[in-house]
Amino acid sequence: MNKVELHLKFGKSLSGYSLSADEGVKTNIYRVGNITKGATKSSANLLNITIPVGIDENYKILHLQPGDYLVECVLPSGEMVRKDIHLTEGPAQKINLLSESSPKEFLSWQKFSGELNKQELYNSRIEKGQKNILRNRTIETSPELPSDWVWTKILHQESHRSAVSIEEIDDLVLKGLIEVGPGSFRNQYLEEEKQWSYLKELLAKNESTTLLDLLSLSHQAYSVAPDAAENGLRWQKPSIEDEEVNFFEINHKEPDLVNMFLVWTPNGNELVLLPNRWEDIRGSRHPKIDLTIDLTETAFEFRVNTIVHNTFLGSALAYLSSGSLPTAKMYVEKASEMLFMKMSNPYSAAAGALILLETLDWKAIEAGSSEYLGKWNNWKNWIRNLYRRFPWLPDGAVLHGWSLLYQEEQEEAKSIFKEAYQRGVPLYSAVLKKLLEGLDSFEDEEFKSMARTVRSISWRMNPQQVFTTFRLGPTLSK
Amino acid sequence: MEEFLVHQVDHGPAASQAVTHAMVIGVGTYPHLVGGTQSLSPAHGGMGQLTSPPVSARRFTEWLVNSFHHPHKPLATVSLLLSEGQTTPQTDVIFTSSTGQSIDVEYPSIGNTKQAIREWRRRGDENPENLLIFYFCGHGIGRGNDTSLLLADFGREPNNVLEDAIDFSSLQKVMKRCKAKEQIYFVDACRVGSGAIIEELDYLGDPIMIIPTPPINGIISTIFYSTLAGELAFGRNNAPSYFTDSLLRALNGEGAQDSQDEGSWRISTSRLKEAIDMQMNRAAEDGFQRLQISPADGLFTFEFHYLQNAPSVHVRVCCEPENALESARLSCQSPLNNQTIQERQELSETPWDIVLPAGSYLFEASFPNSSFSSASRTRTIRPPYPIVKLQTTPTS
Repeated sequence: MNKVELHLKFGKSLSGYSLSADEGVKTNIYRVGNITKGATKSSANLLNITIPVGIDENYKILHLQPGDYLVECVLPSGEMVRKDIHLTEGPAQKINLLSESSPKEFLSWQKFSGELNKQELYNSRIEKGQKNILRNRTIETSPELPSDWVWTKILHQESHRSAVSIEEIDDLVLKGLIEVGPGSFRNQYLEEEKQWSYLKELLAKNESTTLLDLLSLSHQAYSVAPDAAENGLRWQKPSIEDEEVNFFEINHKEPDLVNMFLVWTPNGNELVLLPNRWEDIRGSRHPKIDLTIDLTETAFEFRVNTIVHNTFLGSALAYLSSGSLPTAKMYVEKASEMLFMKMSNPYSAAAGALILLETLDWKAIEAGSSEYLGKWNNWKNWIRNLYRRFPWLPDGAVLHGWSLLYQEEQEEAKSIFKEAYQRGVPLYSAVLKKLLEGLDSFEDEEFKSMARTVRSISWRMNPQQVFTTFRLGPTLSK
Repeated sequence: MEEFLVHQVDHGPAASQAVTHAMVIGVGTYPHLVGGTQSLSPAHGGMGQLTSPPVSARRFTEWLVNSFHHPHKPLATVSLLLSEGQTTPQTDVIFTSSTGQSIDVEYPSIGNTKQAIREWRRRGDENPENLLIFYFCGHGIGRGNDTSLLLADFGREPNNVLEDAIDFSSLQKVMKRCKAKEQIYFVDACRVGSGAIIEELDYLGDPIMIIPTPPINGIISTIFYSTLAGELAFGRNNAPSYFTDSLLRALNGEGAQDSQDEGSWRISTSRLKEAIDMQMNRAAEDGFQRLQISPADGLFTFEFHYLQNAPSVHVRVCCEPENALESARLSCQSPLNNQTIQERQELSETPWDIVLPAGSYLFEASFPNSSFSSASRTRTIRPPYPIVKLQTTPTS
């Protein structure tokens, strides 16, 4: 019997972007029939393939025996789209799988990656008139944080790292961003003065534990608070704004660095680390970064989510952010290419390195597979180069430290982790977690102290976001 | 049977036969929390007595003993600690084994818990191919990704409120020094911040073990949390919690996939996650007070449970448009001979939830009042949780 040519794709527009077959969504194809009995291998299912996403004419082409199949797409959001198909001998057949449309078209990436599901569910329940939905949260008193946290630096490139007095703060870009006091870490907007305030009791500088010691020297600060003071602060208005979301597009062409955005939300402020730009390494297009603030009342602590419209990395970051490593593993080849192309895009190289390290095939390594060991050798070298060539990117140091740990180079790993700590807060939240795990691997008091500080920071982090996002201000209680 | 064990099977020399060892803890009675029989801890944070965790832990243990099947790593031991219902510790708590034997279950004090977990880990060390399963249900508190699991005597010691708690993050760290390469953790507990954690910076409880050796490469440690960091988890009175219910449904078939050969249904960690997610979403859609999201950590794919029969699948049948449902009579038939397998004659505006063996079926909607056109559809039914939407149109 001749095989049938099947053209398959997931027909969704991602704000005008599309994903190619090797960037797309995880798909399983099950042969239907005899599924309660054993069968020959010729009717085996096709699992964990990827198919394109988009409304163009780009399809994944497969050749299958005629018969009945169930096609199942598992989106990064967790949504599962299934369709029965029947293949008969003859011309190629095109199948276009569809999911529910996004409530707002400009948020289609967010819907695709799962950022919107929670809110939609609440909305649908409210529409159905369901009662007893807990929507309000009371705010506790300010949390404890290490008392030696301090902002000691103006976050623009001409500044230097040093302690500053309260008077000097007036001249600094950081005015009004953070109010710091003993036992508190909150922001306060003075209504009458129409400006941000800060407590006079700035915390004492401590070289090893200041927040800025943990941040890259090249961080810049922006505020996307809609009512932020303009003095010395670079800020921008939402691109799209309604009563539910504020949506910001961020697209810069400045030199490589990691940006830090302070975002005002009804719950308090969130601090978001983002790449300054994200170059698509296969082309000259500079994909956008979306930062979305959910303004509606939900039962969740964090309101900010960020998405990079990146066709090369495609949905891998979305799967990674949902904790779905096995699916991210499907992108190992792409991850390897991303790491190799670090000079074009060190941010995606770091993501690639993370995927590769987290999905190492230990069985192949232990079995001495020459092919896999060859790849692992390349990856180790490329990760080391990522660490060496981009000293402003903390993630490179963390990942190189882990690479060394996996090679059982304990002493060298130790010094790298110390350097990683000194470089600053990693761009990726998963890498921040790896930094903590790495520091925790060593029993020295110095490392325990560093681990304590990073742990304190991690307690404020949104682990569901790909890019490191902290919640500042009071914690919330149920 | 050794202490703390409610199930023990000898599968031969440990070094040559990989097996599965499970550690299950269910904490419902907290003497030092609200409603407890002993002095109220100032760190109670509003936490009180729970009825769901011991039921949840029992059901999970029963599933392990009666249903868990791994042909290459058969179940060797199940350790169980429970606090439930009794007003004082050490009141007899019994677990009935699969052979009908009544086995005393020990109380989850910090001492018993440390000893039980250490022995569980020691068994894991006997063979690198061993599979370790850990399950906890009870109160939990947390900050960020760090979680503290509260044992029965939590709050007992006023000078150290977390003396009777497990620092789960540290436990994770030390278990990466255990030789068993495959480890699965189910944590069914709240992960909200509280004064206890906030004030006890850098201390989340007892790490259980401290092993000053580097982590072992290649250890797969997959954790399923019942709720997001910083969020609550919800139980039900004298019934398994939402998470454990979703977990058990997934383990009993909704998380199954015939990945290797047709008809060879297995549960993998990643498919389990997908099935749990779908059921938790469905529970929220069906009117549960709030959406509880169950994240996973270190989610590497490996198969750990093999079904011995094809799964039964929970199917939801509805109409499109939705308002057609209240006028519809629904049926499910064999597509081969149109023989009716199940049907719903009574009219209802709620979807029709049925359980079917995996396979192909013909679904039909007919409308006695002719308000809509009849609809039918043949669908392949596979886990997890398929939804069959019958498209119809109004006739007037």
